[in-house]
Amino acid sequence: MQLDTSILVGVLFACGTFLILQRSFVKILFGFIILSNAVNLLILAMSGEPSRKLAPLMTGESGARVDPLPQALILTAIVIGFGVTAYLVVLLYRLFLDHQTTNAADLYGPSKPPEDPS
Amino acid sequence: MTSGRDPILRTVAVGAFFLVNVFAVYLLLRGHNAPGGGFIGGLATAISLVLLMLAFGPERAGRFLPIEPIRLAAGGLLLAALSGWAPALFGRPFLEQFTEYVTLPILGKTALGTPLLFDTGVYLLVVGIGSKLGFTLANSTLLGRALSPEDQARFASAVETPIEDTAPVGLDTRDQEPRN
Amino acid sequence: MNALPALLLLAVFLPLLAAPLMALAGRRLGPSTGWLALGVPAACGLALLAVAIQVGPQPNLVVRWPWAPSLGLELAFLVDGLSLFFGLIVTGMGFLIVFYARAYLDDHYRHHGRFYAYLLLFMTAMLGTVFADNLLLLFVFWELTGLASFLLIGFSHATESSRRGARMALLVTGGTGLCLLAGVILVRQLTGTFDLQTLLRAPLVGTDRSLTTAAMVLMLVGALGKSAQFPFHFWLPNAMAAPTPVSAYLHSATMVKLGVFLCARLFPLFSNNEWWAPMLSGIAFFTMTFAAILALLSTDLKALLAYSTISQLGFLIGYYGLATRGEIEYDYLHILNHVFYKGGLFMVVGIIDHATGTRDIRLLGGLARRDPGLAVLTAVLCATMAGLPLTTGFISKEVMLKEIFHAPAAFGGLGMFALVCVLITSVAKVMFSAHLFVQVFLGRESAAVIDHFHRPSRMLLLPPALLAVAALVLGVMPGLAVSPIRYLDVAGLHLPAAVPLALWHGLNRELLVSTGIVALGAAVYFAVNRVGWNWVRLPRWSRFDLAFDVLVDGISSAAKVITRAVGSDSPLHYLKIVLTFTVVLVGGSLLWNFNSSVGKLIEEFPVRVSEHAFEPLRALSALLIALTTLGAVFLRRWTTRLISLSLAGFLTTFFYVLYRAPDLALTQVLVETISLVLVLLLLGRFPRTAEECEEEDRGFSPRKIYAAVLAVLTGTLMTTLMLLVTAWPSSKPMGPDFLQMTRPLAKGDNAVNTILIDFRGFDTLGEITVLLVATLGCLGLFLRYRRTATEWKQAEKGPPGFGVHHGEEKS
Repeated sequence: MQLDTSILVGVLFACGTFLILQRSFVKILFGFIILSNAVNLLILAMSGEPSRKLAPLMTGESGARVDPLPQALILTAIVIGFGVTAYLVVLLYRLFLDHQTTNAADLYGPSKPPEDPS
Repeated sequence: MTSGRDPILRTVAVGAFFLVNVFAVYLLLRGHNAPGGGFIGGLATAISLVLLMLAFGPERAGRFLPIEPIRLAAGGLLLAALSGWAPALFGRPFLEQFTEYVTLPILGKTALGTPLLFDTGVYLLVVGIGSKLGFTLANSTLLGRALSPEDQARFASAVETPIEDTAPVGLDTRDQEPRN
Repeated sequence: MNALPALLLLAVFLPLLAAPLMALAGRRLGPSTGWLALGVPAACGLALLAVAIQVGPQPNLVVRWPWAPSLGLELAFLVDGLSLFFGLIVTGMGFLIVFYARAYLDDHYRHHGRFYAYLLLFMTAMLGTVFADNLLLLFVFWELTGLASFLLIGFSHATESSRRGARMALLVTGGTGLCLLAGVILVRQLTGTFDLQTLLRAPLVGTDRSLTTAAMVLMLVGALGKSAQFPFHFWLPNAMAAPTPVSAYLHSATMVKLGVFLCARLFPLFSNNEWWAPMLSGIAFFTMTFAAILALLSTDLKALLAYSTISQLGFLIGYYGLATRGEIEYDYLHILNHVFYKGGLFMVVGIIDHATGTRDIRLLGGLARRDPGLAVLTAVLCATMAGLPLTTGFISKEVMLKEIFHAPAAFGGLGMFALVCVLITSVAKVMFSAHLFVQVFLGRESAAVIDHFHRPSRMLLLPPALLAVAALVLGVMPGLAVSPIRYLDVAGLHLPAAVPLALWHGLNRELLVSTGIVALGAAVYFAVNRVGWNWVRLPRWSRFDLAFDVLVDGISSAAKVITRAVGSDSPLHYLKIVLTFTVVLVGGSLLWNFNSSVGKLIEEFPVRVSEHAFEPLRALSALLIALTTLGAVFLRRWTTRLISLSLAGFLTTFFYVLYRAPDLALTQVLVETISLVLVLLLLGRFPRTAEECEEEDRGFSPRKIYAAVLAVLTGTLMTTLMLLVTAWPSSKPMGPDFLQMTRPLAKGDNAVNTILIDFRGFDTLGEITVLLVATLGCLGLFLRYRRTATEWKQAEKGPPGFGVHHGEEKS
């Protein structure tokens, strides 16, 4: 049992969930980043209690080593998470340019057409 | 975050660029046996390029990376895929890897083989997308123009025009009134 | 023997390779692309002939190339009589069709290159399906034929009927194809193999009876859908919106015969099942009769031919239903006969359409005087369809009657039903054959003929003429067909005895009945014709396509109703709904199983906690991460929040170190850095006034309280789940295996890296592809241009939705 990691993941999930339920672009973005961190830690805990174990490198002394599979999964998850975060950043930026707002509630309200550019 | 006119930042950025990249290549090469690998090395290089771009201003970004970053990324993907297909030519299954060890100066025992090719593909791809994202976003937020005309021709269909084409360069967006 | 795999590979994949070439050449060459395309079926046909000669009589040979052996996937082609027979039909008919299409698609059509590209794509799909030895491979090619057919039916996509027909064909054949996939997977579950040859050698013995039946029914649904049998019959007449060469090729000669092919393929596997005969024969013979009557009542020439095709397919499928294992004799003959006359007639109808501008049988007449050559050709083909002597139709009908007379004795009521259906259908066939010929070619010249007729190109006449000649030659000398048919016999399917075929069998029961059928059909036809033919209308409901449209439209209306009921199409609400349901469902199931989960956890808590639950260093860093993250939620300014968030990210790095994950720590530092730069760039562009607005909005509102409650519940739920999982870790983790293998197999010391690059390299390849696609998506977001005033007018409520008002939801 890893009580400290479990509580930490719970706190991160609570913070992330609270933020993505907000309307502000910035809060949604931060919430998303926190959530992806939380999921990574969740998977990390699946590699088991790490005390007195070695890193998954087959060099040097022999002894118990931690499970490498969750680590490989997280490595993938971090990188994909980065890709999605980047996409979210650009998407929010794009929404801001189009609608001149940083509040998601404004996107769905009744709005006026812009002036014809031509 | 003003686009850098700061000489100290420039000097530090140039120094860091070389240091970081030596380290990045080292990480890439030893990835098979020690912490490191294509993702990590690629991210390090991409960060060094973005740092350089921030120090010298986005308008000069093209000088640090003369190749179009997306081409670099596509080339990386191609390299990774080809290194996977190569065994198929010899009747082996897709993505089977072969490794040989050689002893190189400085690096010591180094794994050369298809895993390194694959990892190099990953490295190139991460460098490409990381720097492209950084450059484009910086171009757009700092200069008000996301894509150069060449990029426009390359990534857009002929009927589209960029969203920020009419925005004046150097626009101070902090004065704009939001609608909420 | 050595060249055989190469020849086979060439035959199957040459069309696929040539397809993009055609698309490119089409721009330059226009209508002459057909000459270029002609070479492909010719080459494939010759290659297949060479294969057939090399493998010798009654072949049964598997050619394989490993593909993903760990998944049981391989590129395996089964060369036997059945696949060679169908392969030769596909290439032979393909040759004639390309020749015909070259003359047919003149300057009225555009995009010739695309047409031939689709046609060749289809050819690869067909050849792949018939030669596939692996059932999954068969499924992949099977769906590819449906896709190619979709593209070809919708070729003139400017017209609505084309689009509708294409959509219908895709949905019906694609949907039933999924049933086939389910059946294939079930077979694999039962037998442990996808390999057809293995399956055919050892038919399902000792497997679960009811599951076998389920697998059979699922696979047969696929076959029936492809062959447009009864509940699915509506798609074929609608598919007639395709250009005529396509109808002649896909919708009479090849693709719709895939159902027949699949029945023949699966025959040795399932024919012992007690549901095989009733299901196949019941549905197929009913369809046969039903479609023959619809054909009689149709006014569009192509619809008439489509219904008669469905009818004939019904016979061919039902034929496999009423046979006992290893005793099929004449299936090739029936199929060949149908290819001759139906392919030919479709081409003739195309010529008529071309020459007069109409396909409506009521508007045509007296064409014989204008074009006697075409009339003679059509007469031969119609005679074949009706089964008159001296044609293959006659021979086919003789043997068909001979077999069907045995059916009542062997199959009781089902056999009787089949016999009655066959007799009725034969009479109807004589009637609509006569109808087609008499209405179009005899009688007075109609207005359409007088106004529009122009003589068709002789090139167009050549392919149907060849088919008619073949029907005549084999009709007069049926003995010629015997040795090729014997050559392609399949064990377990065909009777391994000589096939006696002759024009004259003596004065026997079959001949008498056959004569009776022709006489009755002709008599009824002329009697009805005297009264006036046009009084019968095709009842609309009988086409079933209305029901299909209602169903398809119903899906989108149902979605609309549900969206309205939920209340909003603003995604801001969806997230709340999804999260609430997650918490209620997962948390509820935990409470439901309280004793085995949470209760047990509480009980054993003191024991478990003592096993390293707290590591001082880890607990400290966890506390710091939690605090900084809370800072990102509750601090005032955007920048301070961002700094807090980054701190949390960098502290996470330390956490990774504590978990002995050096690779992760490195990656986390770097990703955190580059993310920080991106977010900073974004925040720099957001206006300060917006930040001030947000700072002012710090009070409590019901929405915020609900969000907070939901957040706390989610957090508690995740903590509980984590505790449950980590308190009783899996007894058999996979990771240690990778640790053991990393040195001997991957020759690397870093197990994380070898998993990414070597053991799970395919996943990594997918992952980096995702990254590239995400970046291209970002570039796309930069490029899309501002919404114009017109666009705003079309959707005044903002983003496109279901028109639900959501103005009042603003906070």
